[in-house]
Amino acid sequence: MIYMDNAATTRVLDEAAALAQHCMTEEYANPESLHDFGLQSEHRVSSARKQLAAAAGVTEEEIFFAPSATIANHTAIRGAVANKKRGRIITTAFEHPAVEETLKDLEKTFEVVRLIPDHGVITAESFRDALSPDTVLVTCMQVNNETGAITPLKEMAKILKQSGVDAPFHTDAVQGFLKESFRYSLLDMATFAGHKVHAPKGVGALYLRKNLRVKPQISGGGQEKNLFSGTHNVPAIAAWGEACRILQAEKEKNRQRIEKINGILRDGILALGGEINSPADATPYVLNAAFRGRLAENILHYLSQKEIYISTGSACSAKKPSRVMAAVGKGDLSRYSLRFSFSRYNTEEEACQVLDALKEALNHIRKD
Amino acid sequence: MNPEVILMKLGEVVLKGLNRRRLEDLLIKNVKTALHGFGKVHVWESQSTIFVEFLEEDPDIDGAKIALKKVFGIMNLTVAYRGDYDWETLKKQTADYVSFALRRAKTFKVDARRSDKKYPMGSPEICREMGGHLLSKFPHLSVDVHNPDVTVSIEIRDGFAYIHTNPEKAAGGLPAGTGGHGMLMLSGGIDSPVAGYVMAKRGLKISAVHFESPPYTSPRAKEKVLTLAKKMSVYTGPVDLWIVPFTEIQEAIRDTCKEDLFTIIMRRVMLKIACKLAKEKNARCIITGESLGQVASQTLGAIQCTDAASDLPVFRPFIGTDKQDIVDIARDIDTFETSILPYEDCCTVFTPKHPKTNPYLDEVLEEEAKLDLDALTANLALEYVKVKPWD
Repeated sequence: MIYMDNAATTRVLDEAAALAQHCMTEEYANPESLHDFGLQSEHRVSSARKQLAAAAGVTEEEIFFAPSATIANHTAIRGAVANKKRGRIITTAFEHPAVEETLKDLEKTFEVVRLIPDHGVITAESFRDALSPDTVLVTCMQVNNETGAITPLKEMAKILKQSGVDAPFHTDAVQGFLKESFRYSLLDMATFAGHKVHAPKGVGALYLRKNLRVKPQISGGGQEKNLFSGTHNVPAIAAWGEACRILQAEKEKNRQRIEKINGILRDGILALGGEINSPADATPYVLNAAFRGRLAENILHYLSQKEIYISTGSACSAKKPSRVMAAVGKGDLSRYSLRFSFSRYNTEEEACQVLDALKEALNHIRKD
Repeated sequence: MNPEVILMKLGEVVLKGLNRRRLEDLLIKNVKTALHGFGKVHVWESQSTIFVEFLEEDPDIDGAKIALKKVFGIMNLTVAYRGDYDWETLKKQTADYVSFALRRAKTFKVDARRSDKKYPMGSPEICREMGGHLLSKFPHLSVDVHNPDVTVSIEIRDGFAYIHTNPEKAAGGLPAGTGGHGMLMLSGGIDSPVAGYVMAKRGLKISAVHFESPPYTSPRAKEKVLTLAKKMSVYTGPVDLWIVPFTEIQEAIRDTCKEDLFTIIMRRVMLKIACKLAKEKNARCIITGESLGQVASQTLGAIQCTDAASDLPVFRPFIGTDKQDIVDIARDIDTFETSILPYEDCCTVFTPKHPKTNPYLDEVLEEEAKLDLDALTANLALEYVKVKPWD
């Protein structure tokens, strides 16, 4: 099997899975319990918090565990504007539905301005133009999940700071965390997901800059300083901490290998007459390509028969036409676009095998 | 090479005579400790200024600045751009570097210092020429030499022209560790970590002692104290913490002595243990967070009775401070939220319903004599923890 759908989800690291198992069968107490057994679980949570904070370049008190990245996004966005009655929210035209759908709902009250990518990439200039004194929130994804385009967050944060506009800056960093070098303390909020970085599903996190007030969107037992009430998913949290530690240590090594894999596929696809939809300076972890006239879904199923798993776009919305492709001006290619996304488990040999299979697929599948 | 460096002006240290060298060396050590986690740095001192150069790519200078604002002994600090000696280049570098500050200002002045006397221009000439250049670049500005919104400083020294704007106030005080060594009685409440903080600001190295009484106090109460010590250590530097098992002694006091004197006698025993430990570890004073009249054990009568149990000076920096003022500092140094976590500490275990607020030493000593203190304190198994800010 060749798995190149890592932007959808990833295989859990062995070490992380072992720790999760340990937290399910040995140290299974509720971290809120007063006894020592509960304290052990609490230590698991706090040590994972430390690992995440170190990887994100923030302090551990600024990391809040959530049941998923979607819920973290939801709390960050709704919670940040909860006390505002009007104003502008600046975002990008190619956010993940977790952000886009929330903003659609807020559009009844707020003016939502969506930055349009230029040649597939959001520019800091377009952000400068969109920024207004009544801006109440900025939420722009760090790395696009379909094309791998990187948003210039650092420059944008600088522009926001220099403008004096008092709006918190949030990023959905689900596809960038532990992959792109970035210090999230430059921003006010960031959302992370465990399952995109070799931890189990069912855990997300929100970085919230110290002293920034966000109104909780869930009421309950008051966990995570009241921001995300609900019993901690200790096995997943602990596993994420462990995965963080390992990935952080091997970050450079992984990146170099993935750049090679990406390069092999990129060159191979061009040689087969395909087009590359990812911008040139995109993250190496995602490669979006199209064979004009060959339906992506057909190629996907052909490869699937050979146990090669890729995606036609964001797996979360694979059944709908891609908003992202439309936003990057390649709406006509939407039906033909394939997404290859990589992880530490992929090899250069696999990239070559995928190219061979693609070649076969192109011979079999007729143009539409 | 990163063109930005942090410049820090020394505070009271410069007033010292023969000790100055030692104080500065310790301060540089404290600066390096505070920069743990900010990559490789080069720290040096020259003419009452400490310089920090970042040797790794893309350093977190804002974060480093926040960390350095917590180092005692520094009066103010600023991020400076290391410009060139070449005048034309320097003019351009200055206009670029200060443009953000100048665009929002109405008035400014240029302040020049030339430590390198070989530099071809004098300070007044640098001020005049650079002022003129900046006025031509930012025509909305006017010069105000007495009360400018922004002061653009150019310091010519050691082969570089350091460009910066208004320095920010730093922690002040004396470098922690230059004024001797004190033993802090750290309870888990609001006042004691703040007391450690203010005494470190006057140069003390802080060690701490905590008393725990399981099962009456929970493991989380101990966690809380470790967190408090860690937060305090951001300012004081790493803290040696000893945890004293206190249950047996408390039970003995409860079972042997009059109930209304329980707290006073308990405080006296704590102080005796703390003094003994302090002397073993070469600490020469005890520090507590007591504030006159705050609780029954902090009335004048009670303090007289507990003080008599100590043969070391007891520093009570908040004896005349209101609770709210202590809380304000606790919030500033980020210990408040931890302090108010609802875990019982040993001070509130077995608290009498009606403690004596005006006890006399004679009656206290008489009651205390009923205890076999030597036996009770002979073989205490102290737990030792080294608490570092970055753990």
